[in-house]
Amino acid sequence: MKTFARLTLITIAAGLLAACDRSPEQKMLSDTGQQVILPLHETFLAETLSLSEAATQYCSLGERSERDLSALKDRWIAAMNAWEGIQGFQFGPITEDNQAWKVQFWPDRKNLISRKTEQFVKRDSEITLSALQQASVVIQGLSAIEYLLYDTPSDRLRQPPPSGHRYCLHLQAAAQNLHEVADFLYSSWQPAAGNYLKTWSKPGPDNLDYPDQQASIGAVIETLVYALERIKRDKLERPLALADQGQANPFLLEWWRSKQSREAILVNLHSLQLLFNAGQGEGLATLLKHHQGETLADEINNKFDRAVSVTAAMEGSLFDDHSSSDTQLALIQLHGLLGELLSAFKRDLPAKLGITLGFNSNDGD
Amino acid sequence: MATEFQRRKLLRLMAGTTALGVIPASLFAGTAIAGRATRIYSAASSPEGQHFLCAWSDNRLLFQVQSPGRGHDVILNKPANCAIYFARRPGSWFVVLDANSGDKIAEVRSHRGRHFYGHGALSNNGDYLFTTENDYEQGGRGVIGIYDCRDNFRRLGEYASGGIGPHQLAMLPDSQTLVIANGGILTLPDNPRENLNIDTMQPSLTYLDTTDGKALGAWRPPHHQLSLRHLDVDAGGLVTVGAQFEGPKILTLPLLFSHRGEQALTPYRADDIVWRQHKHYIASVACADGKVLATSPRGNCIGLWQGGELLRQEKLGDVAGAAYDTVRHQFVTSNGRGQFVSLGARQLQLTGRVAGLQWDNHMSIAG
Repeated sequence: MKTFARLTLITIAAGLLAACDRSPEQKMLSDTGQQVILPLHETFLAETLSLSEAATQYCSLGERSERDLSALKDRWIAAMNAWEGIQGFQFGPITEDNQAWKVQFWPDRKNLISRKTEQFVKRDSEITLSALQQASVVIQGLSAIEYLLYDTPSDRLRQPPPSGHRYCLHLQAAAQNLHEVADFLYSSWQPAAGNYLKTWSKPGPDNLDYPDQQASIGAVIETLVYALERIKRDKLERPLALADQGQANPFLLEWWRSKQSREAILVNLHSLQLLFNAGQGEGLATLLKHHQGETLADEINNKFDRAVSVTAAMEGSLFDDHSSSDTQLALIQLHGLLGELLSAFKRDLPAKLGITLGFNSNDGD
Repeated sequence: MATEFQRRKLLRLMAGTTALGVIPASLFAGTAIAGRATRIYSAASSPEGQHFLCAWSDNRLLFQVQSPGRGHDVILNKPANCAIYFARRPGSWFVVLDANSGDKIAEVRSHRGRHFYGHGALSNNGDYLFTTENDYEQGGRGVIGIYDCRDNFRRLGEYASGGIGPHQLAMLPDSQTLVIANGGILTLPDNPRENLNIDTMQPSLTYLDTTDGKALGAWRPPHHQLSLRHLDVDAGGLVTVGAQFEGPKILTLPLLFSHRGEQALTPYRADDIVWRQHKHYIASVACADGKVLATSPRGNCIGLWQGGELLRQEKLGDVAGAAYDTVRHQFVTSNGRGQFVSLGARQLQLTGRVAGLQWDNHMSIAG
């Protein structure tokens, strides 16, 4: 017992010493990884498991009530929200081998999700996980499940079996595939598998992906920029004709079938703010303070807070209510705040930290 | 346009070029470039905004010369043993350095009323240099400047490029025909990075007879906002051109096309997802060994293609430069993180890195 206590003390002391030795940059990478990236991926893993189990259970029911379907939709929303937490990542396993496309196919200008799902379900062969994984990524994940639960197949799924049997098989296969993707993403960050956490948080000259700390920190900033641009341009401007983008086309909204577009933006903003702050740890915000950027860090957090408030306060769905005067006003406010956040992450923050965001990618020729 | 005198003179000069044909590699034996370890030439910038013209080999810089401004492409004149670095558009200079020492051989300023577009190509005997230029005093007409490499890069004249915004160009194996990617984008020096004709731009792939400046043909991409920018030609004369899409980003279009003879541009075949990963942007195209390598710094990806089909895709941050290493028989890329990364048989391999340097869009390799 005495030996154990001594060992524990030594371990704690060594840990504290190691922590003291770490530079603010190393601490930022460590905290961002441990307190945000891993938990967000773990949440996605857990919610996709829950959705997969719920789909299996639903399809095994002899009688299916509206409440049963609604409960299944809730599991889909939870999985979708968990996805929105990591959707914007521009580094890590999510960028490998079309993983993001397997989860979500959007925007879908040609209505491929509907067409390909119907083709897959109506073809004359067995619907299995393996068959789905051989098929187009368009029908493999959350987007296809949304179509099944919220579009025309929904009525067939609601009827007692054997009605909608093949839709149910697709639903289960897609939910299982989604969980497999989530498992790949989560485990690839872990030491037992790809150990991407080490790759990203331990930069060095021999590290192909991250030759220096700037590259690792830059990956986080690029994720923030990309995700904010995606909200501003793809989730607001294009579908809702903000910023002179022509006629509104709400069918270009994300998750228009389930009318969860606004909620998805809310999750995005919350997750991005978490990423900026490394949760309760020492993230980019703290790093800014080490570089005389405390005011900027506070301003960014203030803008995130306001963007979250404005989004949360909108009434109804963007699909149905985007043209109401109150929503329009809120959208313009949100759009402005996103522009200010983008400006901060593209210019002010990199300048304070002495980081170049891309070179050829930023302004090539 | 070239003056009549210049045209006649060029005709004679080019006739000489044609007679020489493709210079066999053996003729380079004994020059300083030949037979050495792989050397990579590229323009670079520091994060602080200083610009350099560099050569790298055996994990060290051979030279790092202060540049008059941000560079773009670099080509090697093997017979003359020099490296020619071009300013990024709107460029007012190209600089010629000794390929071994980095000593300056020439610094050429753009002709009055012209600026460079960042690229050049040599006649196959290395005697003449052709550069893409903007005749901005004539409203942005694209021209091909002609320079005599044997006479301190004296400007001999110019030809019409056949379009607006000529960008990269290359000499075909026939030693007589230039292929030019006319990007179609009108820019003027007052707002050099602003696209002034986004709605009416007409990019084209144009062929030009260097003996008389005659346009031999022009081919347009399937969308008028697919700006054709970078290209390479394989040993058999098949041209591959990469595009940058200036239109609505919600559209997904092929970004690589092959072309030969009188056929229409043939798009490379890939899923929309592959093209979306490229984020509407191809930076460099390199043809060798029956394959084509194309880079996308916005998509952080490298594609290896054969016969218009994707063979393999790799991820690499801010990757842009691409060239083929004839010594190691592999493609090499460069990026804004100071890295040179080779496409190994199964995976990417770090060839080398210079901390504190960001390699600019293009590179050349001397084997």
